[in-house]
Amino acid sequence: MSHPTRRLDDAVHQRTRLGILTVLCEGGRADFAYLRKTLELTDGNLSRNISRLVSAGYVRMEKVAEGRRSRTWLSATPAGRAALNAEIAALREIIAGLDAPPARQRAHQPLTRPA
Amino acid sequence: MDTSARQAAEALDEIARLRGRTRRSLGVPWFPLVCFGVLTMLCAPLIAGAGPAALIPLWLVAGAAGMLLIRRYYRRRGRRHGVTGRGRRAWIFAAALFPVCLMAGVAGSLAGGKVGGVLASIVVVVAGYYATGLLQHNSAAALAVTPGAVLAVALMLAGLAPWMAELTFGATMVAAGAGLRAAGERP
Repeated sequence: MSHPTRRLDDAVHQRTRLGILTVLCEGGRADFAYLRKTLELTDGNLSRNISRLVSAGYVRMEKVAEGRRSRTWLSATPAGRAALNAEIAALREIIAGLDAPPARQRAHQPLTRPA
Repeated sequence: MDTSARQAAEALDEIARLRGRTRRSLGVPWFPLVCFGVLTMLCAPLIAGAGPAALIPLWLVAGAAGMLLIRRYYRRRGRRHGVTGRGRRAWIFAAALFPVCLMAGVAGSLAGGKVGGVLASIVVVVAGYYATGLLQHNSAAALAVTPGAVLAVALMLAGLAPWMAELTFGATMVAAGAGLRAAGERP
């Protein structure tokens, strides 16, 4: 069994992207402005991280025309929900590994580095 | 605590904080309680007259209208706040619950007259709120509707007329919805 840190997904294991995915998985969908306000991010930072999640297939983006303006709605895909659940499970395992007795902790340590 | 474990704990704390904040943004499910509470109160005169079987036409028309009204409310709310809940599954489930509730009312009235019909429909409605709460990870509406259901059933078992028990159940649903709104809804 690999060490839980090895199972952390780079696309999700980053503070901002984890936050975006958390909000989207808790709600059905959220617009760009809501995410920017909730996560206290700039437009550019939020855009970059959303693009990363979209390219990973974890987030779906939809632009909807509302009057003269367009509004960007985002939602988590099933793969995104699975990725968040896997991330949370891995984080819990990391913490649980700390509470385990030393022999068990050693069993969780990676023996060799991946090639 | 080593660095990776401390970071993991911080990440989980942040996830919990964001989940709580998003749930608060989604608001409390007060509107369905008020809407269906009013419809339940409208059932009382029909139960007093023709019995629970007469409710089928009312629920087919007014119940469907109520569902559409609730859907419209949540869509408008979502547009206003910029975030929507995962309501589709709950909405489909609630729509499927209609025929079950109607059949329960009819079966209950066949088995136990007006008392049986009203009792069966109250049980199905409360069970439906709990099931919907599980789907939406929000049991506020189910918990809010339970005391009224218990009161209505207790009054009916104590000898109160079924139509009055139905009226009581509807009124407590409206009161519970208003209470939820006052307690937790953002303007």
